Amino acid sequence: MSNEERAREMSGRNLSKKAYGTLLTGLILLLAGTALFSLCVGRYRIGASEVVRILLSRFMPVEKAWEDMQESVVFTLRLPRIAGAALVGGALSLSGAAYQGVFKNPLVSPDLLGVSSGACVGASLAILMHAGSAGIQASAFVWGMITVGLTVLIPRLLKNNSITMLVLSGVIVSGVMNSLMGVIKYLADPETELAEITYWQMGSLAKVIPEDLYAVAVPILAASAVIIAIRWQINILSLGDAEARTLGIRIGMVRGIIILCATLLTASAVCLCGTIGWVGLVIPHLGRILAGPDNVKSIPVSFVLGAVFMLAIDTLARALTSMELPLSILTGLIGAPFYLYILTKQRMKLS
Amino acid sequence: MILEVKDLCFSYHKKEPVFRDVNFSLDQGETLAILGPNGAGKSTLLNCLANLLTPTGGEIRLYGKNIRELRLRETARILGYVPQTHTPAYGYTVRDFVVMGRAPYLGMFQKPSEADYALADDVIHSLNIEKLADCPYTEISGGERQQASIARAIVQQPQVIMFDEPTNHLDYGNQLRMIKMMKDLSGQGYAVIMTTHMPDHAILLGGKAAILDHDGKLLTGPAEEILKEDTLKRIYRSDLHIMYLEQLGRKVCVAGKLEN
Repeated sequence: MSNEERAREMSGRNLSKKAYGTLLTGLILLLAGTALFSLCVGRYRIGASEVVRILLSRFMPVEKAWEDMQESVVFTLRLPRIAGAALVGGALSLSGAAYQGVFKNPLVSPDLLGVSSGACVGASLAILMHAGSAGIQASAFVWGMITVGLTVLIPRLLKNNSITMLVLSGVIVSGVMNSLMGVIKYLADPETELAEITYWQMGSLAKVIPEDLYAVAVPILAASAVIIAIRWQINILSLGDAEARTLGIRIGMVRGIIILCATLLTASAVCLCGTIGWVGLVIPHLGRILAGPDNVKSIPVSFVLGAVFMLAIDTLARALTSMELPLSILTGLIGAPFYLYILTKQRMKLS
Repeated sequence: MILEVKDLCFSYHKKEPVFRDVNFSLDQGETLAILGPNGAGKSTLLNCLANLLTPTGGEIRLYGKNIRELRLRETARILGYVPQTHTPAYGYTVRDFVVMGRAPYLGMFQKPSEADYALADDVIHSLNIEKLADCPYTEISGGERQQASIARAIVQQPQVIMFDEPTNHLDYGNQLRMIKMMKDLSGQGYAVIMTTHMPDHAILLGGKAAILDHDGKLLTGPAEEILKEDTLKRIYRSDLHIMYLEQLGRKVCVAGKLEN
């Protein structure tokens, strides 16, 4: 096969600036559209034009032609939940994309590295100690960092830096963390705390209130901004330590900043709605399929894509049946087969 | 003098030194071919020179400044490094890969500008690899990958370019083209350092040569003086011959008949 043929076959791997702009704009519009749809549907249906007018009324004078009930559903129930879903989806996929880059390993994600379970243990411990939302977040973050530290440590101790070893190490560490979770549940008061922890851990945005949202929105937006700003360095780190160093990169510091931010993102997402699997693994893959492997393009695309995906999942979760489905069930049901599809597609490309 | 190496020593964990008292210097347009048997520590030496390992003694000076006192970015603007080919995890296009050579000139929160990409394109053009520019780096051949790495090193705008066994994994034709490429680079003013297993490659490259002995001593000097038959026989424990071939007008290093 000639080089031209090869280049043509792979075209789309490196989007032109214009195509990237179109893709990102398209995804942002898709996010806005999904959000609008999500504001309308639910057990209490509201028309799209009404929703738009209710939203606009906050910024300009609009003649009131809706019921107070509708306004309150939009602002106190659906809008915080939609914002929460978009933030969590964006945070998890950005976190996954960052881990995949710095660990040079497309098979890792917040859940596979054990960070989600670690943050979950931290948050649950804080819940048991009635630490309040700041305490829960801090504890989730610290435990998330401990977990990722352990997961990275095991391959180093065994002097085996293969892709598989890091994944296995993640399995080991999340296994321990899941057992700790069991201990916590065992010790929790079955009347009050156990239900709270279990329900929260399965992942639900049903009870998101604006105060909780603000508490996680700040760290999520800050950490996302840092990762988006530093994203070109992820390209260089993914080449390996030696090459990055000869290119003048202070590896320890850059990688440290990225892991810190990625862990903060996962911990914040876990605090808001428990462990939601698959998003952090699947969405960055999808982002790379759409925008190519260059993190300059694929990281922002993954962020918006994650937000759209999570919002769509959460809307399904509350609109599909009269009872709410936990989010992790839906992300697993949709994410896992989708990942299989991606794997088959990529293998076909390799052969 | 661009690069000066004084009394350089290195040992792992206080064991026997891998090499000791290494002295040489390299200026604009000079080449140095480092030879040595397997396990003698050629790569270790090159990694020290490339600032990937910290020597246990002696010093490396770039333009008179100790490399330890330079920031990594400053070092990377002087030293370019072409690693042995390997397959990275992600299939960046060759263009995206080459532009990474701009890293020492960009801040942590910057990404390459149009001008950086224009420079990458110029270098890709000058190496005649435009056809590869949009191919994923993971799906091109070893020789092509090496060319992409060289393009990246040039984009780094260094004064010295180091090659870690650049002829490994290349077919014979590509090996020779690789040597030619290094010679051209030195003609353009770069100081070039390579490690190699092939004494004949060192002869072809000319310039300076160095032989790392089993006992960690580095013999350096002009290639013609260093690459002596008896030295090579001793180092490689083989029947090697240096002879002048009239037809070619150069010395060659060839092996004798295999002993039974």
